[in-house]
Formats: sequence, structure tokens, C-alpha cells
Amino acid sequence: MDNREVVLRLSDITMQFGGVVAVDNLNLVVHKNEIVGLIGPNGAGKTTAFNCITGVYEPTNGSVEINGKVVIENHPQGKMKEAYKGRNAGKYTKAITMLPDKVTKLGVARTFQNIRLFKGMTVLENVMVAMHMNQTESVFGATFRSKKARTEEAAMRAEAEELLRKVELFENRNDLATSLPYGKQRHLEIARALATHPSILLLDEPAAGMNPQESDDLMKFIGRIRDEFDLSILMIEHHMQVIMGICEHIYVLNYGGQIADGTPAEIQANPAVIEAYLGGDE
Amino acid sequence: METTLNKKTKSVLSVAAIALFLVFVYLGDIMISPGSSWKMLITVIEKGSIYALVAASMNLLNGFTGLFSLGQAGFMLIGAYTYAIFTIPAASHDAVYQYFEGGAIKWSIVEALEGSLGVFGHYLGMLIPMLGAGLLVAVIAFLIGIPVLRLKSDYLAIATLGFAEILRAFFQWNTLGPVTNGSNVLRKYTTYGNAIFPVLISMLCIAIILLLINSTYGRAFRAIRDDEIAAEAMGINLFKHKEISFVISSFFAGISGALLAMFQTTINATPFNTVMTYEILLIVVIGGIGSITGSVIGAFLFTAASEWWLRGLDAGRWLGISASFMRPGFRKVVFAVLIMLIVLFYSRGIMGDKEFSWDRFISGLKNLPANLKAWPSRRKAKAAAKREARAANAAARSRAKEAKASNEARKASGEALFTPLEVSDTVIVFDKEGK
Repeated sequence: MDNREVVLRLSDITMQFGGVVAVDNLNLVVHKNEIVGLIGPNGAGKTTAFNCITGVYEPTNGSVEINGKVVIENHPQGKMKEAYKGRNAGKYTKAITMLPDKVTKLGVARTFQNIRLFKGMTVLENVMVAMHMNQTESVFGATFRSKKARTEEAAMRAEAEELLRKVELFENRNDLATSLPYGKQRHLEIARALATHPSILLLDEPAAGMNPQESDDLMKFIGRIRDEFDLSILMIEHHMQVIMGICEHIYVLNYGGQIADGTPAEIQANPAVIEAYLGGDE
Repeated sequence: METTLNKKTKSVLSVAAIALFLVFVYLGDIMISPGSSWKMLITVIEKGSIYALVAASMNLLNGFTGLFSLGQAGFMLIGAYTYAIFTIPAASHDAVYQYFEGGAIKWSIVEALEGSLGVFGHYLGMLIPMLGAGLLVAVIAFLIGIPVLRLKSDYLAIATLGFAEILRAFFQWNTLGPVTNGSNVLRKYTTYGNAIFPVLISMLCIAIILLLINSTYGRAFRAIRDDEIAAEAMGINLFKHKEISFVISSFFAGISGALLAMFQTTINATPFNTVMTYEILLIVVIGGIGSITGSVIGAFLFTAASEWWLRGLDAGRWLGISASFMRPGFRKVVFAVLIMLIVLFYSRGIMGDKEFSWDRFISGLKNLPANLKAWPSRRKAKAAAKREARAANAAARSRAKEAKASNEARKASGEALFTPLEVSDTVIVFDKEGK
């Protein structure tokens, strides 16, 4: 069907907290340069799915594959063995966990539902922090300003400035991150994620709290960075206008379970989705 | 008024200021006779610089990495003991370790190097155990950090405080007596001759801390302080960076412990307790969490106040006032009140999270005469505004009184106070849009 390279593949991801199954057997594929939407009513488990991908949570069952390599895999263990309510219990045998910083190093960058910028730092510093993981100088070299540290620092600064120019925040580079208007803070958060050189970008409600004009700009912005940085994008969003306008493929969650997936047109016509959003006939 | 100096002028100014200060300290220590009350100034500079170093090291943890750690006194203790143990002259061992048959270590690094290298060896012999003290503390901090740094906020504070107390008890343990002299005092070890020594060492160490903070690692530390979750999502290994910050901070705490041992000339584990940690924390808070300049200023103010300016309160006579309640201990009462006032009115500390800059300093100086000149008129304006507000208030009160009186009169005459609104019985329903 789609013969593009697979960047991210979730197989049977299930996340159970105590007796609550927050994400139930989610199967999701993001291809290279694709923009994929993840939608669903409040509490459907969208952000939990993000947290499973980025290593914040260990999924109870299932595996996450990034660029063709399984990086996270788990199966119900210990007490969870009996309490497990999901499916495919015997399918996975390995337990591979990964901390969020390692996942980021593998090329998965994310933004947050409620903006999480570094408040005490300037716009430029916010972006430069994200490049810290790629520098190789030791703490001694960096402290005593070795030649390598100086070249790396200069390269970092140049790259950060270049990135800020691309996202139109260059004029604000010396302002405190929190002094930016809301829309620009969102842009900065995306720029900061881009600074980690991701192959896939996870956006958690980037248009939250934006007016139609701002979300329209954001939509264009997301499309533009996808082309410019050669990215794949997986986004959670509530603004249907944004999701339907920009995504090539949409997955719909409800009560943790996956109820539909397809192109925007297919999703709009899907009775299960309409029922989840608007309620069925009583 | 904006003033910007070029980089070169600034560095020249900084070097000149530091050199001037060092010359002042060096000559001051030589020229001021021990009996003079100005000798206290030199003592304050010595102790202040040592406290400035430990406060800066604590600020690196609390203010820049967001780790609320309270282990500083414990780490200073190890530093102080390590330095003292290896520099007690061989001849003095029997006197110092009188309860432990002259102790286990019967030589001194200072003497060993002095014998072969002369004066240079003497100072090298002081620097090596000092550096060793820092390194030992760093190793211990590394080990303590492995379990402790997985904890967050208050839990980390409690755990580090606990470790510091354990260390204190450990050093007083009788079985270790041949090395640590048990609960007895360590003395007669080599100390510095001139106040410039601790000042110079502290300055060097604080400069290194500043360089670290302004490096890419310092940026990562501040990112962890601002938002751990976001920092981790940006590829920063939380544990590794917290450990780096903890170890480096502890290294400098160890160095300052060694300096404190030299300053005091005798040491004992007892004073390195939680009270000492709180003193350091106080300096950090007063100076401003997240400002090294603040920590330095705070350290000097704190030492000057507790050792010098408020001494008279204990002795019964202060600024020409003498009263019967001014007896030993009263200084601490006044000190506590002062601190409360500072925390109330300067809740972010003296410097907030800003550092010293020549630009701000000079523009402040330039604006000072104007500000001073404007001060009386500003005061006058403030007083006038207050008077006006008071007058307006009084007028409003009298109006209200009048209205009340007239209302009373109308009520008494049977008139209705309010005219009721007309009530209509039609209800309008708005159609939902687009239905």
C-alpha cells in the first residue's frame, strides 16, 4: 500500500495503570515524510501513547520500532501478569526499556501539551540546550574552554541562530523564553525539538489555545518544517481544521482503543468516529 | 541611561579591581597591627572568602542545577580533616594525638616537600593535601550521589543532610582515633601566613565555577533546574548531569573545608553540623539563588555582620548604646530579625539571579547623583499623593455620611428608598445559531 520507509512503528502497544487500560493495543505506522494525526476525545490515551514512545512510561505490552530497530519492548511481568487485561499477552518476550534522553538521541523529538520551555533562559539558549547532547567535549574541556569546546560552542551558536532564522524567531533570540507571546512560544518549542536533529517529530496539541488565524499559520509552519527538515510528524490535535487540513493519515483513539484509521476523508465519514465524538443514537 | 563598554575595557577593569583588592588584603594583613580593631576587616575578608567559595559551590547545586542538597557541611568536614591530618608536623604528632600514641600517620606532606624543595615545596605541600581533600570529597560525593540523586526536592535534602550527619559521627568514632583523633581537636597543622592565600584560592575556585556555569554543561544544568522533563526530552541524561554537578560542587566544598581548617588553626567535627549547612544556605538565599555574585556578597555581609558589626550586641555596648539586655546571645536575636527583614523585602535575595556587570555598575553610579537629587522631590510627591488620597478618603466618608443621613430622613418620612423595576412577564428565547 505504502512503500515508503517506516520511521516509527508501534505494535500492540498497551499501557495499563493498575486496573485501567489507558492505551489498548495501539498499532500505528509513520512513514518517512508523512504527517500523521492522532485524535480522540479527552482521556482517550493520546498523550499516554506519546509517553510510551518517548520512554517516559514503559508500555505494559507491545513494542516500539524506530527506523527499523526495536528500541522499546515489554510484556506483562510480575503482578501485572495476572492483572493484565489487554490482548496479545504471549506475543512479546523481551523487556527492552529506554530512558527519554536515549530515545531523543535516536531521533525522536517531542513538544508538550502544556508548553515546557526553560523559563530562566533566553530563546537562543533554549535552542542551544537541545544541541548539548551532540557535543563531545568533556566537562573539564568545556569548563577550561579547550579549543574543541570553543569550536563546538561556536558551531552550536551558529546552528541555533540559523534555526531561529528559519522559524522567524531570530529577532527575539536574546529575550527570555517566557516573555514571548503564546504563539511564538509554541514555535520556539518546535524549534527546540528540531535542534535535536530528529527524524520524527511528535507534536502534542501544537494548536491548543490558538485562534483560527494562528492555527492556520501553525498548519503552514508544520508543513514547511516537514519539507525543510525532511521530517516525519506525528501529532495529537483537537482542532479538526488543522488535523484534516494537514494530515495524510489519521488514527482515532477512544477509551484507549483504536477505533479507526485512514485518510481524512475516510475518517470524516467513519460512523464509529462520529459516534465517539458526537454520541450515537440513544 | 545605557552605557556599554567594550570587552577589553571590562576585562582591564576587572583585572585592576581584583589586583587592587589582593594588594589591599596582602598589605592589610602585614601592616595592620594585631591589636587594631581594623584587623577584624582582614579576618572578615579571610572567613568571608572561604564562605563565599562554599556558598558558590552550594549555589551551583541549589541555584543552577535545582538540586536541593544540604550536605555541604559534611563535605567541608572531610576536606578540613583530610588537609589537617596530612600536614601536622612530625614533631607535633605526640602532642596532638596524645590519646592515640602519636597517631597512625607520622609524617607531614609539607615537611616532606619542604626538605627537598624549600619554600616552593612548603606551598606545594599545602596545595597537594588541599587538592587531595577536594578529590577525596568528590569521590565520596560520587558514591553518595548514586543512590541519593535519584530522589527529588525535599527527599534529596533529607538524604544529603542525613549523610552529612553520618560523616560527622564517623569522624568522631573512637576506633578511627589514630587517624582522626576521635572526638579530640586536631591542631598544630600547617596554616597560611597571609590572608591573601585563602582569598586567592577562593577566587580561583569561584572563577572555575563561573566558567563551568557559562559552558554548555552549565546550560544543561540550568535546563534541568527549569524543567526536568523537558530537559530529558531534549536528550540530556539527567542522572549523569546531576552527578557531575554534585561531584564538582562537593569538590569545591572540600577545598573550602581545607581553607576553613587553615583559618581556624584547630578543627573538630562538632561545629560541622546542620547549623553550619543552614548558615551556608542562608548566604545563598540572601545573596540570591542562581547568582554567584550574590553568594559572594552574601558571604561577606554574613561574616561581617556575625563576626564584626553585631559583636557589640553581645558585649553590652553597640554603636554607643548600652543596655542590660545586650548580653551574650542577643546578637543572634538581632541577626535573626535582620534576616527575616531581608527575606521579607528582598525575597529573591540581594542579586536575584543576576550577576555583576560593569555596564550596570557604571550606569548605576552615573544615575546615582540624579537619583539622589530626585529623592527629596520624589519623597515630596509621595507625601503629596498620600495627602491627596487621605483628603479624597475623608471627602468620600463625609459624602457617605450625608447620604446615610438623608436616607434616614427619607425613611423616617415614609418615602420608599428604592423604586422597584418594572417586571415584565414575557420570556424571550434565543434560537441556537445554525439550527
